[in-house]
Amino acid sequence: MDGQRLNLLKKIMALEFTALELNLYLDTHPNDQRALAEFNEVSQALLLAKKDYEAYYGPLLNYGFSPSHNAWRWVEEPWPWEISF
Amino acid sequence: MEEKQEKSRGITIRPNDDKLEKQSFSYELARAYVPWQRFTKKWDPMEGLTRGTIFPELYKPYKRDKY
Amino acid sequence: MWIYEKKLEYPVRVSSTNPALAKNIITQYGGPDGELAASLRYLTQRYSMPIPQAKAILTDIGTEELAHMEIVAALVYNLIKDASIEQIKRAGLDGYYADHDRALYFVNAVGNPWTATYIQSKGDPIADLYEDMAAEQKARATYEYLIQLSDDPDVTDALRFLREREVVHFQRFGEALNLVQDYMDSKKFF
Repeated sequence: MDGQRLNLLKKIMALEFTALELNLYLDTHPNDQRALAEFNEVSQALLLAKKDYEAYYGPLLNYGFSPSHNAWRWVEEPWPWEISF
Repeated sequence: MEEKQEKSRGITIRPNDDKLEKQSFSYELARAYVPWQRFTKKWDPMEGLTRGTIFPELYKPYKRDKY
Repeated sequence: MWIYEKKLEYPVRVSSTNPALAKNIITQYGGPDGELAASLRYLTQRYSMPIPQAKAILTDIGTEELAHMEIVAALVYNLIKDASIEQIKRAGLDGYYADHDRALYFVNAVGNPWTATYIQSKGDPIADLYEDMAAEQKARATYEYLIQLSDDPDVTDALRFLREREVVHFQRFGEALNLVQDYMDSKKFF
């Protein structure tokens, strides 16, 4: 897998991990406005990074959450456990 | 003594919820409590991923024993 | 409803084929304090939680544990996929091979299959949250033993990530416990 793809994937992992961490924090601190603002900010950045990735390398999500315009690219390899970072 | 009590109560309040601050519960016997985390700063996304948390105050890495 | 995301939570790499290490790490796939047990424990306990914050945290951590199960699976898969029969025999993985070849299966480090007795669902939210906090500590300890056993720095890197997640989950369950205890008190008096 080429370095550009790996870097983009790693960037998505990092953004999504920040969103996940803020999500768990907000579950027990639902009134923390600052955490909420940061969650929304990183969610937006994550959305853009995913769109960027999917345009080149195919869908990240199944069941209609990612576009698959001209071909059914969901079946394409590699699957996550077949990628070496 | 007064001050100590105030301090110990300080970590049980719900962060960013000033109305509840005065109603914070007192410690009871035969119960466990975890201090509330109060979000102040976070690492940038890549550093957070590398460390396993974005919260510096929750980062408690394992110090490998040497045998 | 769950949807699948075609990526790991954390970038995984292994240095070389190492069935002996895989034999130990597989306990976090199908062992008593492993990620399958963690995920199913939280996802089944959420139904009897009395407050929305507790339902949310059990749902979200239970979901993250599925991603951790996938990370552990990726480690084991890559550690054994190219192992020769000779390497498998030397690693003591021949018994596992006899039943599963190089496939993934839910067993602990000595081959015992996963069992629902690894988890509890008591219906008492206080008892369940205490169990969840203990489960996070047991998983943390297991990751420390695995770090001690690991002779692959790339695998150790992933183990460190997974270990730190147990610390964060413990904090969240503790906060949920504070809220649930608070709620139970308010129900008693008002």
